[in-house]
Amino acid sequence: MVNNRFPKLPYVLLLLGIVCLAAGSYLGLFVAPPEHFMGDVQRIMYVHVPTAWNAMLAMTFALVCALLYLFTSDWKWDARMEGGIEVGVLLAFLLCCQGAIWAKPTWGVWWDWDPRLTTTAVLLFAFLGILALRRFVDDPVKRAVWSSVATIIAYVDVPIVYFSVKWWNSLHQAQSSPATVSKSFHLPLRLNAFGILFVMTAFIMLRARIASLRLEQELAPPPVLDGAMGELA
Amino acid sequence: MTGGTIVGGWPFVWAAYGLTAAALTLYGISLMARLRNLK
Repeated sequence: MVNNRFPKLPYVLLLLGIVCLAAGSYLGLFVAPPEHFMGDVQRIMYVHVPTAWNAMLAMTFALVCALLYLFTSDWKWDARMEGGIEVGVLLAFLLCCQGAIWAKPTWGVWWDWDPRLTTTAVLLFAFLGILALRRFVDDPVKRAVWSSVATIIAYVDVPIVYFSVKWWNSLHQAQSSPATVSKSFHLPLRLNAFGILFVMTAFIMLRARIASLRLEQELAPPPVLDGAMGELA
Repeated sequence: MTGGTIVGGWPFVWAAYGLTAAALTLYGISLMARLRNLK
């Protein structure tokens, strides 16, 4: 069940991600100019925005795996879904923490029940709940089906998070992208985005491998006892 | 008063980058440890 065609690929991606993140962070911290109003605090954007993009991407990957599992009943999609959810939760948690750290000097508070922040927190806890659900269900088939359905339901919040700054009055600024920020911010933003993308992909691959190995152990037939064999013979 | 601009703030920047680096590193280490235990 474990797909080990490219055993070294996650480690290559991890290395590539670390190099991109180191270069992007160096440029973001020491080379890019400070923003006019936020000054140096704006440098948090170079890590916060790529984390947001990749958290959404990890959860979208989990959604695709959930749908593919429901249509094919192939265990590899269940294992990959588990990887996508766990890494998505890690990135969503980091996103909330980075946001709180950025909010304090700019808004004067660590947290506000603003639409963007609230919907992101809901997303984090919804996917955290799916991980908890997977822990509590022993039957692998029920676990896979229930968590696939739960992932599809939880994913409904992803577009709400994305459009929350457009639909409602929000303290949070509208989406940042290379098109909405100064050209001098592009390179560190892109390098960190690719850095986190490579690291995230490596983490999902490794986590899916762990889930596959656990599934293999769960689905393996119980060992035949010597005594029972003797009676049968 | 700073005229609507934020002055300083480097501790917040270091906190955000430090937390991200620490969390990604620890999670990576935990993944490799879990994988090694299962093999």
